[in-house]
Amino acid sequence: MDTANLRVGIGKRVREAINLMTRNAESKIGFTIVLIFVVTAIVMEASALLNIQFTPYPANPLPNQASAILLPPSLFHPFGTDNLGRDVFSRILVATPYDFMIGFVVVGTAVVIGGLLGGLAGLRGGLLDEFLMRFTDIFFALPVLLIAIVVGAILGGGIINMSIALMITWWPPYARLARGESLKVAHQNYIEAARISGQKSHRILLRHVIPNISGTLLVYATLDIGTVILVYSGLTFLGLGNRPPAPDWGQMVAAYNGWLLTDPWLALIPGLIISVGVIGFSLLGDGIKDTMGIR
Amino acid sequence: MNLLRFLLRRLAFAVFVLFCVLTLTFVLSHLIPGDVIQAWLGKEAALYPSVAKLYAAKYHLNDPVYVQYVYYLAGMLQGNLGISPSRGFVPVTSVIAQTLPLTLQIVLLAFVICVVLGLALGILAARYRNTPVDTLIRVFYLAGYSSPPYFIGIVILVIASLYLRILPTGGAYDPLLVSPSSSITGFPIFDALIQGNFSFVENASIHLILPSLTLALVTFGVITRVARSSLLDVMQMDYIRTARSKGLDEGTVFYRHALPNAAISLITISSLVMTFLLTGSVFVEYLFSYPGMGHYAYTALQGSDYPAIMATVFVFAAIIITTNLVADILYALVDPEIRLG
Amino acid sequence: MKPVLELTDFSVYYRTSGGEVRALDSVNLKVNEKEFIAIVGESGCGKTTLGLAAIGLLPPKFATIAGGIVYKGVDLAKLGPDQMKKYRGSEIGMIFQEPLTSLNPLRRIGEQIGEAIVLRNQKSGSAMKGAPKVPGRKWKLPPRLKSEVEQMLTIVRIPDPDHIIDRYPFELSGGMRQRVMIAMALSQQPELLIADEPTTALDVTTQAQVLKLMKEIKDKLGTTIMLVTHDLAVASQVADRVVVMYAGQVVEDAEVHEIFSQPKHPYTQGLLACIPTGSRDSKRLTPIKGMIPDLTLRKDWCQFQPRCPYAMQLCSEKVPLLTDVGKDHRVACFLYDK
Repeated sequence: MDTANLRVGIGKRVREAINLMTRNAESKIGFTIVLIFVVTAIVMEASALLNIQFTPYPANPLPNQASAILLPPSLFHPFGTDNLGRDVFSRILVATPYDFMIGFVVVGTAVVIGGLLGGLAGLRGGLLDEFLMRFTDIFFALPVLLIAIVVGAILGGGIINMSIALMITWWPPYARLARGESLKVAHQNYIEAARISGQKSHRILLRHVIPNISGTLLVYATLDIGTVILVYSGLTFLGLGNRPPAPDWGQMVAAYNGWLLTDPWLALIPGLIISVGVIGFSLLGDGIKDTMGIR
Repeated sequence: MNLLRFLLRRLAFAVFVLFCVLTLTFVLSHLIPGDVIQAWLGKEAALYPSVAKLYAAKYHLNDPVYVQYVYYLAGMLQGNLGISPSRGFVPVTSVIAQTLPLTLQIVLLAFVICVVLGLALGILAARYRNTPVDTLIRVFYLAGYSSPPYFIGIVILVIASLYLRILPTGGAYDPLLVSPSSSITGFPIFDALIQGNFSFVENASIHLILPSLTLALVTFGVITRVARSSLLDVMQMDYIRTARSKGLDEGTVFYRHALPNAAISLITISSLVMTFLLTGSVFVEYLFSYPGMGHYAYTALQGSDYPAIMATVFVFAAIIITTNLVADILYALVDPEIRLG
Repeated sequence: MKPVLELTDFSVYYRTSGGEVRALDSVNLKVNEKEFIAIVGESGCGKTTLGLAAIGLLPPKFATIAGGIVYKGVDLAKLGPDQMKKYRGSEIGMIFQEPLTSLNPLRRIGEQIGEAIVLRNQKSGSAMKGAPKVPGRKWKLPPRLKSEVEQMLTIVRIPDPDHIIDRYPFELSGGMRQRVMIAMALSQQPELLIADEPTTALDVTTQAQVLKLMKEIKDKLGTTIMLVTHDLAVASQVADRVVVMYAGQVVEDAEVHEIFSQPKHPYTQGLLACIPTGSRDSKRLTPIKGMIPDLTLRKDWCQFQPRCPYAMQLCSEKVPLLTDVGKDHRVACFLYDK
């Protein structure tokens, strides 16, 4: 295949994808919000890797670098400063690559695992289907947050451990969804044709089944990313996130809880940021769902 | 007879999953890094080596893993969940017996609020679909379930304590004002009710409001969304057209023919709602200093109290699995095709 | 015989994303008392719309009505929703194509028919003593209601009605469900019963039985029946009169014998030729060439003209109107225009 054609294909697909995501007002708003967060995350990650500070103030300043403590929101400190004089705005920015992008990581893995397992189950049917679905059911019954808490308690917190804990428990709904869709597709004639002509199952799976079920999976995934962000913020709230002084949105809400009555913005603003991020995905997901006409 | 077999299968499966959760917690508890005895007894264990040795012998902590597993299961079945370092080494079971009813009070109240609010708004949204009413409801529940439970809780706390000053902001009741009755059912409010301790009932109930409300606000969106879409789907069905062709008025068509059919999908979502409520209780109880099981789990986590963590997770999981089972049973009972086919 | 239903220049427009669709275009039609009339045509010809219009079940947001549709002297098009509701069910009843999806899956047969009977009694003002509105969870029909339901089930020739009352729709066969629908519709003793493709979802044998039942109903109860179908053969078995529709317009209207012995409109002739006769002589099926027209485009000429083997110049210039061509036989075709 001509690489030049491939490149055109990808560019066009990206444009099509963006088009799809911004067709109605809802998804436009959602897309903008998500885009802002994603760009921030990328910039912040780059700044961490390159060791350049992009934030107006350091997120973890040394005592002599800190500003005055407990300043309310102002021009210099859009979100104020906390009890150690750290600029809240900068801390929120720095936490973005973790707290926001974990959504993509977990859901991405879940889609891949669940999609393959479910797609295969629906395609092959029979004993394999039964077995895979029982297997899925067991994981389905595990409450995500609780398992993550246990993992966090034992292996310690931090984004890697939490990501793993979440990835293990997040895939079952996708397996079920993929199986359902795959069942619908599997009975189509072209699948029969492929099977008769001797194509191996995994090829049929990859070539024919996956592309057809990816629409529904994608919509669900978009809505789901927000949920992961929410759950992870809950975990960091409980203290299972990155080790302090590294900031996490949820952790900030917990830490600033004590100043609720005197300096409420400290606890409210990180919480608000989380909400906005999740709402962004909800709008985007719903918008796509409406455009594509999927339930 | 088909129904019976179906139910038995579901029950067996639920038990199996519970068993898996048990095994999982056991496996995980043995992955705790460091000295096992120290982990289970807390950091004080190093100070009392002789006590630690006795404890280790009693709990078979030095035996091979598979032996421990058997004792573990046996212990679980007998209700022995270990002792809790973070609570002064009292048996975990007794702490749970104390705290679980409180959590259940909040969760059940939140569930009721959730269903009532969610259903009402779902019906409204379906009736006035695509009008400003619909959009407003949508914004409301979107804000609700997109926000972390502790955020909504904080907002409510701030509002209630700063501006309203009528609802208490913490605890299960005011110990200075009222005291609970002796325990019969284990549920403080019911016990007080039975024994005529109305001042306690009133006080404790008021303390329930904010935590339950917070939980409900974060979760009702799920019900509203499902109710709305389910109602809209059902209204397109042929039998609705038939009902209209009989000359029934729209209200009857809606409440007698559309709603019951839509309600079925709500049963499945109810178990999901319970899961959200239970896991959310950890945050809400912390925020409102409500001494329920969620709060216990939180303090256990902070204090590295592994027996407590394992136990609370297990109990929560057991409740969730049970709720799923109940939902499946209800669904089978309500849907005639499953019941009779 | 006075007409039960009379349509005068009756049109229905649907607002769709593709434009305005003229589903019914200046239809003129008379349905006489105790008549069994069949409205025949391809999908999209407007016959279902006609049925829905008569019972007032057109989607209010998308459909606009013009012209008159008069039932026993009352113009239904001018009625408000509350007034129309009074006619629906008790004066004009309807049964639908898919009996499984048209019955409430969660309610037993007895309940659903019972509901119709209770409605009848409410409307006639004699509420049954002690009858609850409709039995809900506690399943037991009060004895008087139960016997009335059984009576209805017997009228539609359902065997063992006592047993059927307790069944759910999914437990019955297609034919039985359709009979239940008929029973339900008849419970309110309507003057006019509209049947929208009632036998299309049934196998041939059951189809024959249901049609026979409908004819019996017309004969014994005196109900006027309007059967909507795409199947001319079905129409021939039961109808007194056949109305052929094409692209929203009536193209031929005559007694059933006339239609079959002397079909005048080229479309009708084509339809008759389509029916497989199953005789040894027929080699190939002869379909009508072409496709039904796009109903969003307004046309001021004969809709059938592109497919008509006899098309003349005039046919692409003006719209043919219904003209009398014999005893109670009307055609809309320039071939018969004087």
